[in-house]
Amino acid sequence: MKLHTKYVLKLLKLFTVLLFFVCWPGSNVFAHDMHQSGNASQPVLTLNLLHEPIQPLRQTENLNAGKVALGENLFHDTRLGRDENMACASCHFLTGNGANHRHHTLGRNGAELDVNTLTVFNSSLNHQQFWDGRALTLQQQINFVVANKKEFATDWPSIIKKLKQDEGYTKTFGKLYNDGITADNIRDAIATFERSLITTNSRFDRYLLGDAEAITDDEKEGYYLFKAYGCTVCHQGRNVGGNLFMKLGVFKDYFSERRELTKADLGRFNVTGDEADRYVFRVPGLRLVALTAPYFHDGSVTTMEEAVKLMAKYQLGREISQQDVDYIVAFLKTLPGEYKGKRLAEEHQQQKSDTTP
Amino acid sequence: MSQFRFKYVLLAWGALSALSFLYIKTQSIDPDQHNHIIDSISQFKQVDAVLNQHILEIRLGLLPYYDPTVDNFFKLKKLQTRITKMMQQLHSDTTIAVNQNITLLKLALAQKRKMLETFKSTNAMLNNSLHYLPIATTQVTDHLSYNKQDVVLRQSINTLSRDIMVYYLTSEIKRDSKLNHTISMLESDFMDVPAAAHKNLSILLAHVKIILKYKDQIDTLMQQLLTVSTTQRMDKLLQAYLIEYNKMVQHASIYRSLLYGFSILLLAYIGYILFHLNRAAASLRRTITDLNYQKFAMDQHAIVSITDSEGKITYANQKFCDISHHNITELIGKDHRITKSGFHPASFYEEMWLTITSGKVWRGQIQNCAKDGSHYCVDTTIVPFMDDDGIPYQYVAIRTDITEIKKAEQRLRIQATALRVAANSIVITNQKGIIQWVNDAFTQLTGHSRDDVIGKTPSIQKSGKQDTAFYQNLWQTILTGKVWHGELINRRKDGSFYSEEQTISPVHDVQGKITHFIAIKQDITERQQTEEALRRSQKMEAIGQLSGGIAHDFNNQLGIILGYLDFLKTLYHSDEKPRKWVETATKAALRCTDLTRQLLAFSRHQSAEKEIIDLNTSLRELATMVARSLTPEVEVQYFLADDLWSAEINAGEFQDVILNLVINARDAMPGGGQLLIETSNKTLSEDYAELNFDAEAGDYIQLMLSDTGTGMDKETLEHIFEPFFTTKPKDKGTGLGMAMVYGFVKRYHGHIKIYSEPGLGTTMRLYLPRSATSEPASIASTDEQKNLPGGSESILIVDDELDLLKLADHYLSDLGYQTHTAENAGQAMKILAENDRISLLFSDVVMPGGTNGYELARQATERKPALKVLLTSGFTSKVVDPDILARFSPHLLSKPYRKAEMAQRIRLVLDEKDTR
Repeated sequence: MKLHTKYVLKLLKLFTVLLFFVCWPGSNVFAHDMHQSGNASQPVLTLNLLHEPIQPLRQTENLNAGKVALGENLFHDTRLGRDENMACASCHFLTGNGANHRHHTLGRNGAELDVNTLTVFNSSLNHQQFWDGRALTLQQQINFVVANKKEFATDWPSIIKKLKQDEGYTKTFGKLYNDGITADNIRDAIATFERSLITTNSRFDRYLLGDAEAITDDEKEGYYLFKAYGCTVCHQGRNVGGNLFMKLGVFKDYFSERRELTKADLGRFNVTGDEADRYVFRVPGLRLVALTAPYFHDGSVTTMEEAVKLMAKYQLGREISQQDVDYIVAFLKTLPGEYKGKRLAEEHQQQKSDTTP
Repeated sequence: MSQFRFKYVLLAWGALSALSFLYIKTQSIDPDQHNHIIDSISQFKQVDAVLNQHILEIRLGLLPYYDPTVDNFFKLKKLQTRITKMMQQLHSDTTIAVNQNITLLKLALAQKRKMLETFKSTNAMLNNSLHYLPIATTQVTDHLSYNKQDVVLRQSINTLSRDIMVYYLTSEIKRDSKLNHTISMLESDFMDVPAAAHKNLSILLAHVKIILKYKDQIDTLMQQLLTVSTTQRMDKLLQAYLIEYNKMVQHASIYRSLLYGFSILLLAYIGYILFHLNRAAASLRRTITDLNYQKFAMDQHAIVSITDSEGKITYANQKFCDISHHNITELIGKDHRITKSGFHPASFYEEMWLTITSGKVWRGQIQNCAKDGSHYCVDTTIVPFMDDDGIPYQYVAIRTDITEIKKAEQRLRIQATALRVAANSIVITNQKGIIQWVNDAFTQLTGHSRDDVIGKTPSIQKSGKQDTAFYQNLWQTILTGKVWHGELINRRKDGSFYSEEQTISPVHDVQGKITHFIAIKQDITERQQTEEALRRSQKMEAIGQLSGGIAHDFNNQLGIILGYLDFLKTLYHSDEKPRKWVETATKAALRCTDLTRQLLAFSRHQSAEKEIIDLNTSLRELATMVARSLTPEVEVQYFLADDLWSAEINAGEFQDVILNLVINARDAMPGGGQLLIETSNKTLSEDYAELNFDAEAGDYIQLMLSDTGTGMDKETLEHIFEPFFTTKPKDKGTGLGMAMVYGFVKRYHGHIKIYSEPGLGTTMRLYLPRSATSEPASIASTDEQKNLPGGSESILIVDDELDLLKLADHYLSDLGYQTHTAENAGQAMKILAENDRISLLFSDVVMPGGTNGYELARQATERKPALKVLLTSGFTSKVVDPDILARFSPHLLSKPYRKAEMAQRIRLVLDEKDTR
């Protein structure tokens, strides 16, 4: 409590002094800040990383390689599904965008899922999982998939029973975990694997980290506009979003003008039952936005340009010119990084998408 | 034993579990865990503060992204989970206070998360509008002209914009209402501005409204977020935890004290046990020493071996090796079959194993076999040693060598049997005279069974024939420890009397006290009878000797008389009167010769020619003579057995015997009667020989004469064989008849048995030995031959009786022989030396001067091997070398001899082929 008060007082003092520096970046006053490390000493070229709303991705450290490998196997293992024909990878193509291009993925027996599938890449950076954030962790997210009638439609004992028949799993689990094959351990392995799915080394991250030539001037303009238009009030951080909830339609009712409501459209209200949470969704991270069309929770928006325009109108409450949209889209295209040393690219991903079930 | 052990295991288990319980109780506080908890709590508080700091930074626009809040909230959540887990792990029965605080903390965190989310969303919207406000203001004012109305509007918008900024920074409530007024004024007053400006103004106002809407909200949120009670909750949790923890520490210290106390108690108990153990060990050592001595003693005394449960020998002492002749290395690891003798059946060993495997002690005597094959006998005790479960784990066999005892037992048994079956009856009494034991001979002798007499005194046998003084003397003798020996008459069970000879010996114990008496008794009734018979036969022998001696001399004289009567007879051959006298004299002399012959016949040594005779034939030849001897009133019946064996006897003597017996029978039946003559083959058994001491067992021809005469009393029977004993009138018998019969039978190693009953008759049985050869020869005729054989050879006649010498000289000269005479052996040898032509030595046997006829014959034939010898003798009692006797006895002419007899024998000897 004392510590708390001390901080409050100290910050209030700072508040008065730095009153006029709020909107103008460049100050080094908070260089001592705890949450940043390493890059503080780097020479500042055109921007100070400390005050950039978007932060570069870093590969998750201290992951158990064995668990990552095991998680990868499980991620591709169709035995997790009741019919043994569906794995995590059936919807989340790792060779592509970490999701797919259907506005609603076809689940078990061809049933359409309720919302558009989010990419698994960088999902560990989300503060909560799913569009409505009903899972607090990756582990919980897996539970929902397992229990979902349109997805794995099974339970853990069945999965464990199947996996225990596999000598390889018994051996590997036995090596990595004290208690062998359990639901916790399966979830942990998959979650650990998912934590490794960070798309580092994007052109924009290189730019952030000091390579001024990493992106073009247009793209720099796009970034500038992205900030200036206020996009970064939500789409900030390493994942360019994904760490807060926001009502869809701040300035205007998004749904009434478009189509009939579905249950999924209620968003977080479905989770909390709180009226304030109606139409509230987790802000998606935009790291792979260039690769993950169609857009929005219902997959109703097919292009980035449209999405940018819709966002400006409903969320930011302002007009945006086509020119600015183009700049912003150009900027957004610099965000996808690499996975397993390979740059994730739209062309590459699209080839795959046609073959998806 | 196992129950005992079980008790101790239980006790140890109890102590251990008590110790463990106390130890676990003291360990219920884990300082490391406690430190972790405290550390985690301070971390939590720190992270919470950092989170708050980030919230402030975000609020102030110093932090343009939310990642740190997300990360730190994850950290908080993680720490909270960890703390909860650790606290719950620390002690499963976490108190309500702690649990409540945990729940409250969790709620506070959830609240904070919710607020944080709202804060982030609100802050995003607020920031968007705030950032856009100057631009939006510009966009409106850019479309305005510089006319008065527009200037006022521009000013109003700028003021609004400025006031919004100030409001945002100061949170003045006054400004809030002023701003709302301005907004409503703008909305209503500036409807007629250009469309573009109006549109922009609407946008501006929308953003202003947003700012106004969320400004208070975010301030409140801010306030709530910063004051949300996570840290206080954590402090309260810490407080509750510490109370709990201190309680536990207190408990732990109590338990620690208890643990110390219990440990000290245990140590004391262990010390006590050790003390007792030490004492037990000392007594165990003593016991072991004692045991070793006992084992040593046992090893000295007995044959000891130990086997394991399988029967394999694990120990054998020196005595075992000694008796079995195996050395120790040959025994260890083997089983006892190594000494198996094969004497006992398999069932014997099975029974033994059954006994010892069931844990019982086995005792018995085993005959074993040593390495060298000899058998030895051991008295064996096998003791199984049991483990706690009652299963034998080893067997100790203790043996005693009883081979010698066994042998002694055998000897004793033999001796006891000997005693029991001894011919003499044996009675053992105690010192008071109570019978302890009698042998078989006693029961046979007395008719009392053993059970009858044991426990009684020998007085049951009292016959009353001995007076009390006799018994007093007996007791006096034996009670003083001396041996009593004597004869007495006792009574059998059936009341009859018998004589016995008794030797009573006292038996002394080691102190010299009399414990028992042993009486050895012999039935002497029979012996007395035997002695009587012997005495009688000795008398007969003496009489025989006497009469034989008289007869010999008498014979010589009769020989002379008869010789010269013969000469006289030839002299007075033509003269009637002297011839008749001579003949009468000769008759008388001949009767005398008969008498002497009968006398000599009584004597055993009468030499006679033996020949093999069929008695049946002899009896048939004698039948007329027998008939003539008997009176017509006597009826004779013959029962002659077929296939009768032959006897080797003198036929003449046999005729005499028959006639004697027939005449006796006739005399016994003056009024007539029946006479039965019967022959049969008879084999006399050893038993019979035993009962009749003058008889020998073997094959005999039995001749039985049975009459129905007056019979004889015992007195008569006693003397019947004595010479000159007669029951007949003086002129009727010589008293030599039965003596002759006796002599006859004895001479031929036969046996005579007389059974007589006064008034009923007499039966005589004569047993003559069966002849080895069975060729009976007919009785040679002894009729005088007119032409006596003669010769011209030189004959040396030796006789100490000069008259007989001369008579022999006359006879031989008459027969044409050249004669030399000698009166003794010396002369005879001298003559033999001087005359080479002497062919025959005719010598008397009985001669004075040391050298008898046999001796002379031997010396003479040694000097002159071709010399023939004929000896003559009446009777001799002198001992003669059996070799010589055997050599010369066939050439023996019995005295008195007649001329014809002599002539024949001389010629026979001279004509004999030299067989030597």
